[in-house]
Amino acid sequence: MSSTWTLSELQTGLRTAGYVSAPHIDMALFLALALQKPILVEGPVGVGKTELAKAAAKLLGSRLIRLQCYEGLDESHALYEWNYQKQLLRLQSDSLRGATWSETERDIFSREYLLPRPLLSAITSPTRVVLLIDEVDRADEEFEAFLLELLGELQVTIPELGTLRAEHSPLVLLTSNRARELSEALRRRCLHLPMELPDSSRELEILRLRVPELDEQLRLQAAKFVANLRAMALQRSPSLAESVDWCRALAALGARELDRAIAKDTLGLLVKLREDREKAARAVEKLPRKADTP
Amino acid sequence: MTDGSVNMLRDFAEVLRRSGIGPSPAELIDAVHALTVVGFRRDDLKAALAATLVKQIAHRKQFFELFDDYFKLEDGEAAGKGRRQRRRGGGGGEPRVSEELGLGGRGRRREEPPERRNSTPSREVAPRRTDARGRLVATLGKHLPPERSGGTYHSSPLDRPRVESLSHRRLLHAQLSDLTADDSEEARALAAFLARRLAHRLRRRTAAYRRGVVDIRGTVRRSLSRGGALIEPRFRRRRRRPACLLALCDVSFSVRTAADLFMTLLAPARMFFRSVQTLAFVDKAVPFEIENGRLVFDGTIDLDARSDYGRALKCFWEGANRQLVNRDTVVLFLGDARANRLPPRPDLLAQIATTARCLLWLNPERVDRWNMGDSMMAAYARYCDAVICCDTLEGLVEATRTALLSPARGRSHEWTAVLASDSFRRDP
Repeated sequence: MSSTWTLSELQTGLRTAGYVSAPHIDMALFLALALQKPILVEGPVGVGKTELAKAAAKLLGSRLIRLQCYEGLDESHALYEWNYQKQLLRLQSDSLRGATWSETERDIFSREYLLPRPLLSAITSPTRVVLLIDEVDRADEEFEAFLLELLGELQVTIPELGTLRAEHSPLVLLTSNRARELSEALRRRCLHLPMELPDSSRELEILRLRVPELDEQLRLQAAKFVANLRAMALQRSPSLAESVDWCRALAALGARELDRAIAKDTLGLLVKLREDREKAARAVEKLPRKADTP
Repeated sequence: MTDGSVNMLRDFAEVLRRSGIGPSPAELIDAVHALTVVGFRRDDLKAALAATLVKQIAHRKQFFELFDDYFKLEDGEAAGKGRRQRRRGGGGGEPRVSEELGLGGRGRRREEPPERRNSTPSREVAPRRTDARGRLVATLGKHLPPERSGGTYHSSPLDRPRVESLSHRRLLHAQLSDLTADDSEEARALAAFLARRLAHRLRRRTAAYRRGVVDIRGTVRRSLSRGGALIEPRFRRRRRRPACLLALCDVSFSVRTAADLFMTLLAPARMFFRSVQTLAFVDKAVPFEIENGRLVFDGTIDLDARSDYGRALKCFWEGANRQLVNRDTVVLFLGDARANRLPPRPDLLAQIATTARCLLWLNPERVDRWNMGDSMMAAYARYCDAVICCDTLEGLVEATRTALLSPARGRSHEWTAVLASDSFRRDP
């Protein structure tokens, strides 16, 4: 139960990896490394949950293994699958050369015939990896229960092979958009890290780090405009990721200041629902018109 | 880590359990491990305990308040002790939670005076901690259900869902018309929780529908690459146009609480319908939304007017909103059908019912009051696919569940079950 990282090192390391952190994020990551516990990151879409995993992988110099969850995801897609075609070929060749069934059975249920999926890859990796189980709330409850052994013991059980324990404990991050409530059993096994949209100063800092090519004045205007949109209680408020994308678009368009025309043209990057566009248009109308070029 | 610090954490965990946050023993062990690596600087301690003991976003605010209360009491007393020690020339210095509680911080603990070293930390701090905790638990006790404020409280996973508390159970079964202003606030929070739970349960319920039935031919064809072994089944999805939801809510004074809660419960509807439109009416229909827990109307509406169903239906059916109703629309009507002796115009409802995929009426009045006085429920009920009584929050949740399952049902004999079990329908 030891970590080679201190809190301040993690904070600066994350920033170097392109992630503007917050004290509770640093603490969760620090504890996850020190106690070898998974982190459950909960929050709305586009607040930087997945980015945190990427930044952590960059910081630790580890490979990022990602498992995207969806309804109907099962262990054959998440953990392992037997290579049926290869097994069939082996069975046919063995029957031709007259091998006994016991020999064949021992061979076709060995690791050679196993197709590792993300979870098994993370467990059997010879080096420490960062395992991102993304949007776990989209998976079924059965899959959630299946994850408990991995999260609690950092091991998986394959009936034909036995229990495989991680040689190098992976850093496991689970993300959830709260599309559904996760079970108490899963929550208990994880450290909890809630993430909300950042306040304006942190958002500005993030924009400064992620879109350095944007003019500082325009960055301030953009952050203020996004904050206005969020205050309008749209059905779907612009996320941080959308805010970053929008600023990148402004930079790509060579904008110098935020005027009505450019905001109108690029509004689709921030507002994705038809019902919200009318409301957002009101915020656009408050922007100054484009100054006449001499 | 000393016994004192472990005892302190255990006591704090007990306070959390009493307030409903309820960390399990395993989480408490995690917290102890966390403290061994984090130390006892106040902010670090707070963040580490939050990460290990609190697993619900809804509990975080309460946790921080309890943390501040719990450690503020200790800190205040600790500061007094520190001052006394300084006066006696016994060291002390800056008051620190870990030092004053006898906790062993990693490399941060200062040299203790001899009298403190000789006594066991837990014994030294026990009376103060008991006083502090006693005061806090006494304060919390006011907010706890009667049987939990005294005696032993055992936390179990079953205790955690918020609907399990007595006050929430009371809210679930209370008549909506009897809810006070304070109750309404609490009921709204409960409804938000129930809406999330409802969404989760319905997703499971509708999963089989969305997955479809096994496609035998497709499954056999897919198995050919694996020597004919039927390993992966193939499903044939049902092709049905996704439905739209149109909710028409009476927001007159008598049913406003029900409308408010209904809108909160309807939050997950977007997961099951292609689009969701909400209109409010008293004597005319205007679009509305819930923002920060309050009804916000997109237009003018006189909330103090007498409800006029006939005029509201006419205004809706002959106005621009008519285009919202088509063969893919599930129409939900929420109202007590009290037309205040004004023309009810059930013929307009009949036209809506003919055009829409299905029409459900949710009535927040008790069934025995329907058709009494100016209630025109029977006149409207004959055109509805189902009329569901939702005079309590529990009834409203059940009615919303029924409504949200409607895209998978359509207009068919399956509604009969709903009508027979928990609905009322009577020809005039």
